[in-house]
Amino acid sequence: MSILIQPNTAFLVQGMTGREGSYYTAKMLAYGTNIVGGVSPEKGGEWLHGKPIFDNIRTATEATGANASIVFVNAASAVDAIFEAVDAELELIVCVTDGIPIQDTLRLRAYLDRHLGTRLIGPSSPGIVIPRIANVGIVPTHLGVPGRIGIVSRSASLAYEVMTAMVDYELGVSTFVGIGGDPVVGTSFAEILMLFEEDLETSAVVLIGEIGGSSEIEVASYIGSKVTKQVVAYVAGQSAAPYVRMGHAGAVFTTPDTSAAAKIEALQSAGARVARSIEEVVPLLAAR
Amino acid sequence: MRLHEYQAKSLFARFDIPVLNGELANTPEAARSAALRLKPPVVINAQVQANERVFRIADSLAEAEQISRDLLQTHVDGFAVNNLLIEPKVSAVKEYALTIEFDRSKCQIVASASAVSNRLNRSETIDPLVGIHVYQARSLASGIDLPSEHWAQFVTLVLNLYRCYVQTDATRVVIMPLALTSSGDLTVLGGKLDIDDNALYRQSELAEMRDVLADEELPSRIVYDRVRVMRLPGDITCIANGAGLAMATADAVASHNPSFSPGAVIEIDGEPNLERMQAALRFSPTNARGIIFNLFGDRLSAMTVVDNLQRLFSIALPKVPCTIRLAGQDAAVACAIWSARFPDTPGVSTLAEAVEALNHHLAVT
Repeated sequence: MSILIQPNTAFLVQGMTGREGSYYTAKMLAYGTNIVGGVSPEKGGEWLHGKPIFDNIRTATEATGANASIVFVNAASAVDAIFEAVDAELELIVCVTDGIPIQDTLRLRAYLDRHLGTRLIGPSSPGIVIPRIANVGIVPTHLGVPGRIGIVSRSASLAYEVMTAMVDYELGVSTFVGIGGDPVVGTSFAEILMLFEEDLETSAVVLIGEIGGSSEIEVASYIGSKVTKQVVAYVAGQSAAPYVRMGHAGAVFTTPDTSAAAKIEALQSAGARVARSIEEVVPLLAAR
Repeated sequence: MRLHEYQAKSLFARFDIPVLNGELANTPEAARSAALRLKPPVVINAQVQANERVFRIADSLAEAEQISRDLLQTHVDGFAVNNLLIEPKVSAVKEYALTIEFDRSKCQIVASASAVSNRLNRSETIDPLVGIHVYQARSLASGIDLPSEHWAQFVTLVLNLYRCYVQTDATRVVIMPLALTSSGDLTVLGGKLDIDDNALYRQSELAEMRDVLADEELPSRIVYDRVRVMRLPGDITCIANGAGLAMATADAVASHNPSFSPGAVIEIDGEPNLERMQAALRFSPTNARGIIFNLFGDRLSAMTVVDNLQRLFSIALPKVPCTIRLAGQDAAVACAIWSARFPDTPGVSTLAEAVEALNHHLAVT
């Protein structure tokens, strides 16, 4: 079943009763995602979209057997919600919430480094999609047909572009993972590439990076040494100027080595095929 | 959010970090009065959110007034000097720099110290769950060859600086220079404090310190509910829903031909509803030669986007040539509807076509 989500993965929605949580839970359930309940403190005992709501994760997991969560809780409370999920030993946490203070995320990262049984995707992640099996997060539910291309991206909108374009080339998606646009994220490009490399259901990978940070440089090194599958990449922000934050909190570069040019160079040297524009990604993929 | 030096110093004082007894002045006369109270010689620090430290020394009241007059008319890095911080001049035996910041390449909080006059420096990585250890502060002292009789003072200062960093939700705090005076005291002469924008919801006092005028000079800022304007040097405005899409649009413009270059890159984070698109259009600069709209229908279908665009154009018709690129659900039909209604503003389905069409339109007119 490709990566990250397995047949036994059962999700709780943290913040299910909030406006965003409720809207997207209905969509995720309609898609067929295995959501078994919601957690909203003080709303335990209620029902929403046919699923039980609990006050906390422990009672939720005891009642439902859930082992994963999707976080729609607002930025002020999201980190507390994630700490709770880590302490409850959930295996996968997908954090959609945007705008989490960076010191909070750093504390979370330090904590996760000591709790290796839990994987965090995000924050600021649009989610994970395994077409026809699971849509976890806010990715439009009409996107993604089943196939063998793994997609990992910092940008949600560019991944949507690629998934849309792939349809015309009769290419489909094994798993799409949005790692999020923040400067500090729970799971990096390299970690997702490692999973795709070992995944029998993925033949090639699309990687969508952008300016800021060194995640693409790190993954380039991994691609050059350990990845055998073809990688097609695009790095957004070639036209960006230093110190200008291009939307995402993490999309800002101050030194040449975190610019788009440096990342493109590193990825090309590692053997990835780098598209010059977002619209070149799928033709390159189809041509391999 | 960057704070001014005087704001950083007032926060440092709350955390028992030694700062000078300075006064703020925004006119040459006020500067002179401040210099009178503080007694020359004084240091006049331009309060501006540039990276460099701009200051002059005044040995007399008249000099203080003249220097202030000169500085208040200048710009540094595009920021206007509206305020001056007047401080007593202290003689420094040695100067150091001390920084605590989020180091993105290491994904960690790092404290570092250096001696200004030589290459001595030391860094320590701080575990955010534990905080800075006393031994780490001592390590910094030793790394800059600070004489040991000053270590206790230095350690206290570093620990207080870390408390300040955490409690203000800073991304970066800098003391530069940190002076060791002839009387053996460590004193802050220059300082900067950058606050994490994401944390402002829980730092209401700091949020109120925002310099709204300086913000207008920022190359990337939120101008409306989830509408962000990013300024690049060119003159083609790019409006897109999604940060990545906005960057890719700018990239496509930039790679087309040398005379075609992205200027304002405007991201709508969320649904491209009428209000957000109106705000985006409002912030396209008056000197923009053309506008590309690159809109993906995800939560809203392309038909709804086109509907919003039609209403936008009927309220505020852009004064320069535009192209509209639509993608997502029902995009082809939406393009056809748009192009029929606005034949002079092509509605196309690929970014390449949108860039080409606008470039062509501008080349022939």
